[in-house]
Amino acid sequence: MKTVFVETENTRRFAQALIALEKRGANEACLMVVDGQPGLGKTTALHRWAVQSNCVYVRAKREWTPSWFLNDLLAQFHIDPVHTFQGRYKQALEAMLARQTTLGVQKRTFAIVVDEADHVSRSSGIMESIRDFSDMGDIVFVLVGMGKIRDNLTKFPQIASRIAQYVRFENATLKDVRGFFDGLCDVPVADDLVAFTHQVTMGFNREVKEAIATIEKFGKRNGADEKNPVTLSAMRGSMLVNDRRTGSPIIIPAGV
Amino acid sequence: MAAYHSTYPRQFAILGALGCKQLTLAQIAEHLMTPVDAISAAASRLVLRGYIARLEKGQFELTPEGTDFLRAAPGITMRSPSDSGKRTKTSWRSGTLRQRAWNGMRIMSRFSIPDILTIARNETDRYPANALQKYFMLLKRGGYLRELPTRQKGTAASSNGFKQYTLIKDTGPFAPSAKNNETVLFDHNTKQMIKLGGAHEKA
Repeated sequence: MKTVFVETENTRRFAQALIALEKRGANEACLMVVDGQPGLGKTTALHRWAVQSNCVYVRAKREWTPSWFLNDLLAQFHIDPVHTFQGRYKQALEAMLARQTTLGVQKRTFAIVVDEADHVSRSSGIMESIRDFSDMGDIVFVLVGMGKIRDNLTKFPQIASRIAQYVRFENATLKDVRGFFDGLCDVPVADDLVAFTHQVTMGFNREVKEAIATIEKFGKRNGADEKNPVTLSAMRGSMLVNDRRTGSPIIIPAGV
Repeated sequence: MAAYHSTYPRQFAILGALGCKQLTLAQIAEHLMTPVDAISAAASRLVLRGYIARLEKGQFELTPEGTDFLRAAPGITMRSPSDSGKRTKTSWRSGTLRQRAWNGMRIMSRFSIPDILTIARNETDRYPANALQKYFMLLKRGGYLRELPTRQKGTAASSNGFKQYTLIKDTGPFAPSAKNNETVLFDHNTKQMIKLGGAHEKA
């Protein structure tokens, strides 16, 4: 399997939302929420974006406190935290502004990506700290979670009103799944098998990649090539992937 | 100082152009008769060095460090043909594959080369897999990476899997760079030279 990042409809919408965020009217509205079910490629997409754009990436923990949040932020900038909360807040803001300036000169957006933000979306202390950073430095925060962030933030209208963009990661379309096969699979695969994979995996990236690994092994073993791609009928009776809901293997039926 | 003039003439020219004024990128570019893109790149280096600061309205001005640096500078000397191409110090470059890979290592708690390749490579990289293999080996020998006992499962039928690593020495945002024919690593965060130990084994 190849090691490339495959652009999907979700990543394209995320990129569009970033452009819209840069062109926002109100400067203080610099929060973005990215959510969706597990296995849709949120973390990989955000990892890639943070790596390519030199942004800071922190992962929220279940027991995060405002103080722990600041310590994790400062660790990303490799700054030794001072003793007081006030001092640490100042250190973090200065470090973020310095990085923002550097990237701003290169006409790039600086952002802090907070993954697993469901853990903190009910914590008024952390959410208010994020709001303060946004207000004082126009720092963009991208909150990534599994769907509870929007509901939880309704409790904090002063924060919800600062969310400039919502991006929901949806299940991959048939075109996306075709894109995964074209981008990742080392053997050619026929459209009927791509459609079947899309149907049984329900468009979850994680399962699609598992299916690609299985199909690739089958194709290499059976000498698949451009003239002779792997088809659905060729794989009759083979296990494709495990069902996400039941955990049981999905076997390609004999009657196809 | 002379080395700075000759190695970074554009950056030095920007410092001179700013002087005591506050100028935008376009104004600096017009003054120096240089494309804005080139000025933007050089200005970002100066911001990193702490010599200039970006103001709220997109203008730049000298910082106290930049003013001191400019005051202490002797007359500008042109680079002689004999020293062209020679670098007197290891410079840190942003946007390289190694820097992107380093960013990825700092983000992920455990990773293999394919994991980092997926998030760090872009279309302009040539032979990124080989380049990363080499960089991983250097970082491992420099004591930055530790190999984990378990391998990541490979997808090919005959695959032995992929070695997994964890970053045990996260010294800061700048990727360490190799120097002296890859016998030492220079850490731009701590400004330390690390002599590479260990055998030249594959990562």
